[in-house]
Amino acid sequence: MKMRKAKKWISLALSSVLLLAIMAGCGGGQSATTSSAESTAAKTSMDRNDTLIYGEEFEDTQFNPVLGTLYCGSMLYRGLMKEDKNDKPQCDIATNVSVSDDLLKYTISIRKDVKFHDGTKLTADDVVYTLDSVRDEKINSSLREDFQLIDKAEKVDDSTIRITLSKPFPALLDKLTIGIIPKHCFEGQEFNKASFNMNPVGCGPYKFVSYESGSTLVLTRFDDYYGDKAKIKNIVINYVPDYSVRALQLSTGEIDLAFVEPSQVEELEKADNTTVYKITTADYRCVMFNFKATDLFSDGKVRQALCYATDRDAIVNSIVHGYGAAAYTPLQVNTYKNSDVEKYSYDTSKAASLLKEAGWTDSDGDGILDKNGEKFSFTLTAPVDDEVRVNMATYLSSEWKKLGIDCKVDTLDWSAIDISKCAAFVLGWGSPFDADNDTYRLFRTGEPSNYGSYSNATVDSSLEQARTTSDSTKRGECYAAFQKALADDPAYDFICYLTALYGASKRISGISTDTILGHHGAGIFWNIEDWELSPATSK
Amino acid sequence: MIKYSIKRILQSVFVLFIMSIFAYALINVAPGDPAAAIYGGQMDKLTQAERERINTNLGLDKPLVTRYLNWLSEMSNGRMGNSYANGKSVNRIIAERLPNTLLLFTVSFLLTVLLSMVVGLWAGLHPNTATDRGITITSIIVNGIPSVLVAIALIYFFSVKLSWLPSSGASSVFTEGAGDRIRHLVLPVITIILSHVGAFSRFIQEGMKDEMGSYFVTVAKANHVSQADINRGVMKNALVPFINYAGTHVPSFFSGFVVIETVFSYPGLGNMIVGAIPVKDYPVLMGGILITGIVVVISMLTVDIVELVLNPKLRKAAAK
Repeated sequence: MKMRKAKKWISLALSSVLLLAIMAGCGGGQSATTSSAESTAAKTSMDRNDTLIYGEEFEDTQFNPVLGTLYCGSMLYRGLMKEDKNDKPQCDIATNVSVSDDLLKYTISIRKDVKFHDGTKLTADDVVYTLDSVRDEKINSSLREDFQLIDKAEKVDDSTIRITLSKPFPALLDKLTIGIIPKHCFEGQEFNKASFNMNPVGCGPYKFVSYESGSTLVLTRFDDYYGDKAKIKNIVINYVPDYSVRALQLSTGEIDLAFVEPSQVEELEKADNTTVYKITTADYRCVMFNFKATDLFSDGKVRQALCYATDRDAIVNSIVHGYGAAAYTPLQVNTYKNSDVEKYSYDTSKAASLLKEAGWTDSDGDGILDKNGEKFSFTLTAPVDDEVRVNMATYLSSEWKKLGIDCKVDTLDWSAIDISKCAAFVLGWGSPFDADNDTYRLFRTGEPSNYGSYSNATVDSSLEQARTTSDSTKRGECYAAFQKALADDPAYDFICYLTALYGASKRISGISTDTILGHHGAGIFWNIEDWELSPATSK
Repeated sequence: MIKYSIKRILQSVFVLFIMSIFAYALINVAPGDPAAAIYGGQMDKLTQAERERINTNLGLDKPLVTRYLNWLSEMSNGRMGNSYANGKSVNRIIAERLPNTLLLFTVSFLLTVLLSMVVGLWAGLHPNTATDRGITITSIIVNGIPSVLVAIALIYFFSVKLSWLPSSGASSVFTEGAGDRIRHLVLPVITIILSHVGAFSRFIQEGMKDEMGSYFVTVAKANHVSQADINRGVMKNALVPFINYAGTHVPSFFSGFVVIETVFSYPGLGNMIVGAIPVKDYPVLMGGILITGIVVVISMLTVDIVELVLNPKLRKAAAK
């Protein structure tokens, strides 16, 4: 009896050991142990007083600037050009750019003193490799379309390259801010799967230390940086997807900087240790009309009516809590802004009469307009995880319903959305850089990003003309004509520009508040090497 | 017993195989595609032509069956493919994440079992007292509160108001070591315990009550067997079905991790799976599902074997 009992306990003990052994065995990934050992070494040398902690909204899933835009891009990498305070491209790694008269050939000389984080020297080969890779159709880059007009990138000598375009492209210098990657790190590896993508080697002011996916990226100052060395020693980027948690961590001092929501501004401004930066962006929201998916919008009067029936001030005040501005042109924050265009101030009676002029009446008395037996009914789609866009869609749908338009709102997951098939879509665009950047590809007939298949002869010719000259007066005239034509024959119902809100610890100084930012406040780190951090008072 | 174990292992492999077919089909039937993974926050810029180019590069233009067979043959060589989002090998991603999840599971499961044994047995030994009824009611209430709410409440009190414990992650950047890891485990573990301990202890409590009312207890009492000896026997009898009960709840721990790890930004498998779903990172998703499946199957197998060892009736049945 006793023997049996003992045997029983022995087997029980053995099986628990087995279970633990399996668990331990699974956990013993070599890679995991080495990386944590490295990061421990780095972490112990880190001082909270000299470390900026940023709570990020979206996580960089990889760190190769050729594969896509990175939130930490300006820390790890530098490109031929760099945007200045006014979002104008200036030489960075490039020392001189000369452009041929036909605007097709760019000869660029580069600095000879640029080192990558692994100590190797940056040469023209690396620049050419970067530009060739981003255009390679086998490489899964989200930036490929930006570089489509580059026909050829070639090395002239070790410190000179030449870029040949197939068509003039004034936004090229903005695109050349792409981070340069070291060619030698990719030898013998498939680009899409290269280990570099998770162990980046750049030439920016900060170098990579460690990364734990889903939580933390650690960077530290690169002492051999060719430019002005960064003032803050370490940067830690914590992935905090939830906006209320970000605000919380700002107030507890766990993080020093984060993108915040309008509803949180008041609280953060009240606190002693935090402040809120309200920065203008070029990021606007609009309703895109699709001319291919439905015939409803072919008559310009119908689109004008919808534009008149959009209460932009109400949207700015309620949906974005006043942190935005009513929009009327895609170039509203650009040098080439034309304010002398139709702004479609809220006017429902004008909207109603335009619809009537276009032949839409409620002939069967069901409350919905109709014309030749067809009802004015369409679906407005918005991405489900973007609260602002969903609210805009819901609001507009209820407003337009008052005019007898049956606008249904459909909210979908981004991965399930094909914008070019949506009758109407709440779109977000805008670039703080060259005017060509987000106009040509959106409004020029036949461009792939012209999702709504918009086409207007004046718009096409003005955009085309603006590309063929580098004279700013002439370009200004072209863009003025473009904006006028676009306002009269709207492709979008422009709603509003968003203000980027960054909650920040008062310890940080050097954030530039008058630089216009991009989508979701992108670009705040453009001058990260100039930022300073005063020592923490507590903890 | 060895024969039985081999039989169970073979069964498990078959179950995993069938599961992989269903998982693969389900993931691929859902709308959307992984070009989104590459575009991330820049989805407005994704044109149809680029979407097709990237999906072709990833081999998604091939029929579903071909893709599954490719995945299976890679799998049989121990390779789970590469993430669509960053090209990193799924094996490595999982090697980094799995230990975190296993740690969370081991700690929370053992503590849940221990705590529910203490509470359940105690209540069972003192039937019809106020405490017994109190425990019954409390366990029903605790069981009914969604764990997300529990998690948020815990974060609010312990991280925000009191700032005693960290609200997210598995370790902090500035301090290292076991103490730091434990501090990060406290809140998620409490959340998991609270979401299971009610049901677990109720099970023991009920089992104790059933046993207390059974014929052998009456007989023992009639024969002046001491109450302590009766209690020992009753407890043992009530705990054997509990092991089986706890074992069958292992999968529910893992499905709970999907929520808990996300709320606490804990870098485990559940968090990884949640991150991979919206961006359709199929290889990561499949890897996560399969590894979770394997861990669950191993845990249940272990429970079965433990039960076999403890329960002579089952042992006899298995021998037949």
